[in-house]
Amino acid sequence: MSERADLLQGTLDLLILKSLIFGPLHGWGISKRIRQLSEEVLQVNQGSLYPALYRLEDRRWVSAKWGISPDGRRAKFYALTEEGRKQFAAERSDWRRFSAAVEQVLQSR
Amino acid sequence: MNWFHRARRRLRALFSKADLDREMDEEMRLHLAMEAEELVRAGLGHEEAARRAHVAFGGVERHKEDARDARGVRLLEDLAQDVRYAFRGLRREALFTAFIVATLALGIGASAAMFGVVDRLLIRGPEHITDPARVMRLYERVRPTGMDELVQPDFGYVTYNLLRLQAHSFDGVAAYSVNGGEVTLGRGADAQALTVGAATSDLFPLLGVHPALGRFFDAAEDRTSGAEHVAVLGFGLWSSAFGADRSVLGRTIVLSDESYTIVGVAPSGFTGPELAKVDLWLPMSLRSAGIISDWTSGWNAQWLRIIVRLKPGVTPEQASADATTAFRHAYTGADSAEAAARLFVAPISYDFSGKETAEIAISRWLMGVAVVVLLIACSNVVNLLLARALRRRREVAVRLALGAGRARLVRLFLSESLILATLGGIAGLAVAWVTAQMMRSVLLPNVEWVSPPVDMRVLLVSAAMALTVGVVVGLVPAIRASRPDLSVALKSGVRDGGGQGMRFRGVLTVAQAALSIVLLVGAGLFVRSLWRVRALDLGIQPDKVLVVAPRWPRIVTPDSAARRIEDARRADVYPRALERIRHLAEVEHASLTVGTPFQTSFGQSLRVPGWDSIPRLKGGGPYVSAVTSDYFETVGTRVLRGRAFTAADHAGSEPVALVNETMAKTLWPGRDPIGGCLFTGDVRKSATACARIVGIVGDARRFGLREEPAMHYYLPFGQETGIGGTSLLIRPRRGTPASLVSTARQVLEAVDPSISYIHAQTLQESLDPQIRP
Repeated sequence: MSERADLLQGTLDLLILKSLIFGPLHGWGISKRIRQLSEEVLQVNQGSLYPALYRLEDRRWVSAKWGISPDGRRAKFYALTEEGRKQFAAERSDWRRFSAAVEQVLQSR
Repeated sequence: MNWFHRARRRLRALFSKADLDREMDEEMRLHLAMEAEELVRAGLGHEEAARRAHVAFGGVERHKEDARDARGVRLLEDLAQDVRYAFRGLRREALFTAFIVATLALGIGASAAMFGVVDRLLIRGPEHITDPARVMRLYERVRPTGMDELVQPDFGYVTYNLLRLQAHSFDGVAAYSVNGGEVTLGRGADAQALTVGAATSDLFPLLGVHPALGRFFDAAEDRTSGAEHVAVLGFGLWSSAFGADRSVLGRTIVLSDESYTIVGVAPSGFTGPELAKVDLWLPMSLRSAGIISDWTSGWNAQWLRIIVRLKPGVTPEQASADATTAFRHAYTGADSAEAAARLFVAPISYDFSGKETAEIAISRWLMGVAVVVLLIACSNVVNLLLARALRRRREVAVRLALGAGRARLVRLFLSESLILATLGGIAGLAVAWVTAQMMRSVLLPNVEWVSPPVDMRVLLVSAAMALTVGVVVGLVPAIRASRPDLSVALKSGVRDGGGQGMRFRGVLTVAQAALSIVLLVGAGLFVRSLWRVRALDLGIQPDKVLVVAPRWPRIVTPDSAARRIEDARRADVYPRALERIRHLAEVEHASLTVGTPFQTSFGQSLRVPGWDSIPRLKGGGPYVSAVTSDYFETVGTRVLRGRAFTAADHAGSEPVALVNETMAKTLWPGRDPIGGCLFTGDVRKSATACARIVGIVGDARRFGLREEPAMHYYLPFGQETGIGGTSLLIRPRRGTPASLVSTARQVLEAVDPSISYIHAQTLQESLDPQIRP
């Protein structure tokens, strides 16, 4: 996998973890939350959300459970685990350092 | 517990693949529906909304594949598919598969069987010994005056004691001796001769063996004066004679008219430091008392073997030096050769001359053969698989063209060869079972085997062999097949074998032929040497002769006159029995002998006029036997010149003697020994009369097959002095000697009902274990 893909993948993980901070969501809910939070700037390819979710589940950062959505439909809900919460904090600080560094590079003359 | 969580997820992913795929479908369908509904709420038409939702989602199938990968079981799923596919392919070509499996089964089976034998003889040693590598037997290297240096493992109690107290290299020192046929259980026709192991009490802790029942005897019971009459039953005797009754402890058994209390039962298969069966263990002091009067301190008798356990970190060389120093320091005997003896330790798997045993040499040789067989089998299978891979070049090329990964192809081939090797390994276990059983009964009949021919270790080795073979034979065709020149392969298809492949297969064929020739030559040599040994002129015909020896209860009376009378009565039983037996219709010849070929040989001081000392030959000797008139006809030794003994040669008649060919040539080179003189018996007594030589007989083997010629002379039965132990030899008119066993027993019991046991075996039986290359 190329470095670009890695970067995107890592970013997507971060966004998913962030969107689950406020409580469990199903897949579509997560994609909607990400769009809302970024004020429609970040358009996640919606299908790629699922491989990412399974990977996070595999690493036990999120847990999944089938439940009933507010409009009465059976849906799989994802929730942040304790480990996921820690991971989010770590990834967030990584990201901040990374973006600050990029910003610094871009602003230098 | 992260790995546990993952493993569970993976197992679930693997085994409930369909469930998970369904869940994933459902999840993604819901996502698309919700997205579409949102778009409808934003004002789009239903169809347009569904279309846009799909676009935003991206390729559903691709995401599903990615998602499966994310579940981390892609590899396993593919593998399961490969295995299923390989099985289908192999089932389609059942004959091909059967042939390969059979080939591998032979190779793996033969090697596994040989491993089992080598494991017992070489690696693990006798059963129930913990850490056998540090357990060693003590030998002495000594040069008796005027003789070649010799190595032997027999010592006196005094040596055991001094090593125990004065050597520093050992965690333990113990002495034992194993004797067959001296002790009997029961009386009369039902009497059973037992193989008895006499052991010092420290033998058992030294070896690390634990009793199956009760306990082993302790040092107090084995005390040097007045040892307790206690016995530990061997597992085999406990099962056969006592029906494995757990209440035998404390019971009394009578062995050769003496009572012993049973204190324990040895574990199944325990044979002490040697490999042959032991029926019963008794305290060493009981066995030793009476060997010589000062048995705890005397240097003149050697009747026991010594086992040591080296301290950790002590090398055999250091231990040998330590033992020699201690021995020389303590030695107070009169023998100057003995005083200069060097002691050394060697593995207990070695024979009594401190060298590898014939069994080890054979099994090592056969192990080599088995490995060659396995190599041939492998190259054969590689060749077949290569040919098959060439047939499938087109199929492989198509798969590659369609985008199958090379790694995936290699895996496909590998799973095929691993399946073959696994099946071969399983079939090989059956082969190993049969082969090992044969090997044990034919080549190693003296070893007591209790573990099944295929035990856990053999099983593990077979599995390892099958796995290795599977990878090795699969890898070659796999790598070759996954690297074809696509365009050529697609076009030419089946017809073209491909130059490189052909070359490789050519090399394989040559290698295989070479290995086969090595094997054939080896097998030929083996058979030839076996045949040669069987056809060897031994100067004696052991397959025609039955050896019978009665055993009496120990004489318990302290009255020496009564003892002498009883001894004389017993001695008289032999000629009386001989007289009856030689007149039986089914008996051709019968005779008495003191000194039985392949069993006992005697050497005595001898003086021959013209010689200051008798020259020493490599084969040892001169040996002496005392025989009755029919002896040479009975055993089949030729009388070359002069006359054999007659009924007129007996105790009190003129002393005469016969010499063998080697003795005649050595002591009377170019001259005629007949009429010459032998001064036999105790030569220091000047009164010894000259035994006139009346004939020359052919050389006959004394100990075994592989021996140098030795000097041997014969005296008439009754004229011998200082040697004893008579056997009755019988040669049947027709049929095997074994057919006379019951007749001989009846006659002896009729002559003397007080006989407690009658030992009878063919001469061949004393010899058979030696018929080996």
